Amino acid sequence: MTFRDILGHDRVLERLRRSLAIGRVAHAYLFVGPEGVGKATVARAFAAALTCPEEPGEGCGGCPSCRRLKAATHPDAHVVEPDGQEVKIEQVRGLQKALAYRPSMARCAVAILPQAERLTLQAANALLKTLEEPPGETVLVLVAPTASLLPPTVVSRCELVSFTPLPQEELASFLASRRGLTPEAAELTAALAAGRVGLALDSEVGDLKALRERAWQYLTSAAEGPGSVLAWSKHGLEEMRRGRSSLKAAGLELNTALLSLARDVVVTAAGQPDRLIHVDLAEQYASLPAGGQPAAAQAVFEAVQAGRAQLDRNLNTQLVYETMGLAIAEANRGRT
Amino acid sequence: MSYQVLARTWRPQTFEAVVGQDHVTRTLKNAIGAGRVAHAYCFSGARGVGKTTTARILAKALNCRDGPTPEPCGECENCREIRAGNSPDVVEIDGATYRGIDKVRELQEKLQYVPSKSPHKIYIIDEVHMLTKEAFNALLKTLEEPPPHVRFVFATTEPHKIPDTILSRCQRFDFRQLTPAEVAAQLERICAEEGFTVPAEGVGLIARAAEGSMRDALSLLDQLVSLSGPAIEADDVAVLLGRADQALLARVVEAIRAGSTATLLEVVSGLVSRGQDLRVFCRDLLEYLRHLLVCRSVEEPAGLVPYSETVVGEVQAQARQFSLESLHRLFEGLRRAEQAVRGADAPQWVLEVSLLGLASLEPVTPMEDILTKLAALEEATRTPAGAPGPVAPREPTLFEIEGRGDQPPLVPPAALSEPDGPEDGPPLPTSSPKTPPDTLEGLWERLLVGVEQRAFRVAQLLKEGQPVSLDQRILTVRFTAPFCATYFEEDEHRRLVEEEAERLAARPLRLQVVRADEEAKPSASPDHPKPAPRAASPPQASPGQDHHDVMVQQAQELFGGTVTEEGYLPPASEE
Amino acid sequence: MEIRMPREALHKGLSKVQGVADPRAAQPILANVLLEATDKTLVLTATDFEIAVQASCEAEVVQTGRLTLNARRLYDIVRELPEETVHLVAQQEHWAGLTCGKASFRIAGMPADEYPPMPAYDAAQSIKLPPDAVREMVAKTLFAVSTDETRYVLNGVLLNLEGKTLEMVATDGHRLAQIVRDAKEPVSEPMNVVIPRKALHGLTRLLEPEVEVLEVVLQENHVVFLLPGAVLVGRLIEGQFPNYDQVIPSSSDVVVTVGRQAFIQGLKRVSLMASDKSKMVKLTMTAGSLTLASEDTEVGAAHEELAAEYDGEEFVIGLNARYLLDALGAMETDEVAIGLTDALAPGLLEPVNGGRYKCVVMPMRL
Repeated sequence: MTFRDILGHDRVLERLRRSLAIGRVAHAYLFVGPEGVGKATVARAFAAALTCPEEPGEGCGGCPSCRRLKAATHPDAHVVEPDGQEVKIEQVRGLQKALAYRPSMARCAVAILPQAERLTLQAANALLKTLEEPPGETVLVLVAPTASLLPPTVVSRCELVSFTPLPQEELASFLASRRGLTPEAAELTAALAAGRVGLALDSEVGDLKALRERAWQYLTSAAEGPGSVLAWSKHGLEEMRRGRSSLKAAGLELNTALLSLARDVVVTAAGQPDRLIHVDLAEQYASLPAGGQPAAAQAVFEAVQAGRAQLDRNLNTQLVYETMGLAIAEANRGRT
Repeated sequence: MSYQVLARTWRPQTFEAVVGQDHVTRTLKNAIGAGRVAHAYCFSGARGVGKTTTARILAKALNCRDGPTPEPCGECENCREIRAGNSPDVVEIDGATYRGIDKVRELQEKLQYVPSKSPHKIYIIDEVHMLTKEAFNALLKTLEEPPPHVRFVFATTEPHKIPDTILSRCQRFDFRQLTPAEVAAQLERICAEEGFTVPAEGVGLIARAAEGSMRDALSLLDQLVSLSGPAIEADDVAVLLGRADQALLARVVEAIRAGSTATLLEVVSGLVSRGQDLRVFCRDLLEYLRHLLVCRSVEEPAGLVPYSETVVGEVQAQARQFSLESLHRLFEGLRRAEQAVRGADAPQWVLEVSLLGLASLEPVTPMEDILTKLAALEEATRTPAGAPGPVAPREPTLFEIEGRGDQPPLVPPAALSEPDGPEDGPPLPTSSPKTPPDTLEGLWERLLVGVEQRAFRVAQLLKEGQPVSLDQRILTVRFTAPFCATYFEEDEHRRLVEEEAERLAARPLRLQVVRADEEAKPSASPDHPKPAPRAASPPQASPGQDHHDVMVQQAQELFGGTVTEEGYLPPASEE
Repeated sequence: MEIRMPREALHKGLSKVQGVADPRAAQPILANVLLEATDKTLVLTATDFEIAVQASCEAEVVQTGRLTLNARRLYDIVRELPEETVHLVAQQEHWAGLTCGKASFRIAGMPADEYPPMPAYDAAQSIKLPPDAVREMVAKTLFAVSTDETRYVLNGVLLNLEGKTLEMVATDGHRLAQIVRDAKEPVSEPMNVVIPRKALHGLTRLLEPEVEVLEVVLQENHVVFLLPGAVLVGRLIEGQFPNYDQVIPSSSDVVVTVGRQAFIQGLKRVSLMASDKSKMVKLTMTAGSLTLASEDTEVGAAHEELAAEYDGEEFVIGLNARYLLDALGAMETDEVAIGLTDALAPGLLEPVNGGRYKCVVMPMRL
């Protein structure tokens, strides 16, 4: 994985390349942005740019050093993932010990913490000295969804790099050209991924079509009334679960698809059918009661958001979907 | 390749060079000069304001070859080693790694040793609040009887987590947050030395973005130079910080006011395609709302908002287009939007929906008007018992919209009001007037409420039913959705309804479920719990007639239209 | 890969390297030893990311190649083999087949490509070191190396080469050991590196008495020791070794000479009553005697007088008995000299007629 393989994030790459070129690489970075947008990927490419002897400042991807990075056997690249749910202080100490030595192969050592928000308070504090004044040639890259999830003392010692999702069209065109998807499939994938490259690349188009269909089924059932929600709940969940690692994972995935539909309903209710994500559903949106009432549409969106929050808190997926459905039903009745 | 960041290069090395903490440095210098240096100091304050820096300068002051002196030379071996972090007699440790009591004991053992080549052995403990209670207690002994050559400097961003017993044995210094002016001045000094050119406006932006921390400001400056080179424009700063300009923000606010949904979507789309951070945009929008509020509330806002005179005029003009309440509501709405966008996986959608939501709100009615309206409604619905009063037409009012989410509605919804006894507050326009419990309608209303309080989900489904008839022993309810019918045929759910019904009707009642496709017949007499099926013959009622059935009336109000047929379907036959 | 070699040769090579492999490392492949067969040699490598040891042995190479096998397991197998020719063959999926006499084994392995690379070094830049001297120097300084993991740069011994002078220094902040010896030939360029403790342990194990040649090459991030049939690579530690010159007293106001063995015995006895934590022993010097005293208020006290050569004023100082014993144990002479300036200045221990060896111990407040 090198800079050249990265899609989008032009500003970020320009900034990193520039720093490498003029020799102004900070020793601690914090990459923030929505999940799946590409932060960890860029961090890995950055590591290659820092350590590759063939193309320093860029990374070649093919030399023994780059290959070792890929295989995770590079002696100077340290990736600290959570041990279970957290990144513990012992792991930080282990990292500090490894960094106490001069790099074995490369010009500098690189340490990546891909889920830095999982640092325990102790671990984060223990890391402060290293972040501020690391031994020798070291670059640390912390990755987290937002800076607010880390102690300000940590954030203060890092250079902040913000990652934003790609515009839908850009992602769609990339998927069409580099991944050989049909324009229709590319549009759908880009739409459901909400601009997050990682997500888009992970998804199978066939799956996505089915996913959207399921989301639409759910939405229309819910709009019909509580009876239909429960009817859906009986077999819809089973279907949703198929092929996924857990009901919760399936629930989260479906929720994102639902969110895209709900957003479209709001936009339809606002009278802007040419700004839809799923342009092909324009008529269907209009047929929903909520599609004609801004307040109801808002309620639907909020219901889906609330559902997502509940899933994140590990509430029972079935219950979440039923409650969400009932709320959507109420919204479509005009009973917010 | 890796270089020293500005925050490190420009770390002050003398007391005089420390920015914005004169109250600390002056006192320390005096103390050192007078030979009255405390054994333990506690430096508290936010990140990046100078705690560790001052601690190191203090160490130099004490251990300099010329020391103790308020002006360490910086050149002798001790000073140089302290600066490089290499002095054997200045130990910097962090409270997270050294938090246990065993670590404190280890440290205490070492305290007996004379420093190897300096007059003092100095321990600088960072984020000392991380120490365990036991560790603090052990440390207490040392602080009570410190060895003469030992000095402690504790640094912390959370002084409230340090036990009082410890704090009382330290001399405490609170490091303040730096003002934007102080930060800006230092930035300009550094830029001059480093050969960077940044216009004053840009420096101001960085200084404000740093929120009181010098390190944060220098970090931002580093980023700027990395991105734009040594010649920086004000625009570069705005772009790096991702800040939106006032014109764009004003445009968005106007679009919300006018309900221009197309504009709002266009703006968001534009931000995304430029790779702007939507969270930063929300914050900027929120900040702009604050400026609007200030302009609306204050006669002379000039010093309170960061705009030039002409721009202030424009902002004021925009602010005057709103009532104060509207601005508050908009602020609140944006605050929630900012929160929602902050954690969102799909910030674009969340922002779009939030903005569209704000645009679709009706203009806010001032409080007095609302209260007058409520009083009028209250009057209107206080009619003699039994006769239903007219039901006011439903409008999306402020309260209903606000009632969603985390704001409690101003008026309690009907569902939570007591079924029996006088009402506490004025009823909502949509609440049905109270009818006695021995009618079908009356019982049904109360049943819905009662069941809802026991099991929300059951109640939701029960609402799907239409009450058909009520006699001495049986309550018949029809469900169009087969699933609902089955649901209430299940013992558990049926029993719940029956219990509630019994409580309300003061007699045991059986629930009879009728499916939509079957015919329901009214029960003939109390002696025949299983009436024979009969064809339905609903009484005809002419449209426009004053209908007594409340449910029908409500339906008419809700959906408009005219009543063509009204009546009860015959109860279903027993299986 | 396919080789044949006498079992003894393989055993010898494995014993040099297998101890370095780390079965508990985060990366599983570090538990393995890398076997590379080229030309007429089999090279065995093991590393734990801090040090790497390579041993080469003669072998009949039927086919060149590389593979890795669990170090401990391979060593145990080879140790039990009969004294015959070992035949090792690489098999599918990184497995290996080993036969020796009538015994045969199949051993699971991991891909050689995953094995961390040995750093390159320029053998032409090597500097010759006298093996005996190095052995002695390491033994006399290693004990003083810091075990504290906050100042990593102290977790090794400083090696200084200039002209014909070899110097090693180790310190943990409270005591220091410094030894100077001569090289046979001058070094072309001065060298100044901190060698991690682990590397020196490893070196000590490789420096058997018969070893007659020792060379060292200094790379930017590694130090490489070359011995006959073996190479030891140690990663260098980041940071600057503190300036220790000031710590070593250049002159002493007070010098006391005492019998080394008597001193050791006395210290051992008296320190039994010293506080467990500080191990402090009070030394009182008066004309002709050195008195050792210790006290732990809850446990008891001890007291012993030793004959000493001293004719000055009474002098009292508190020192850590453990540190003294470490230093005394490393010395070999009959007598040692204690140099002191005042109760708050470092104490200097030197072997009388023992060459340029100094141990410094920081005093404790009495």
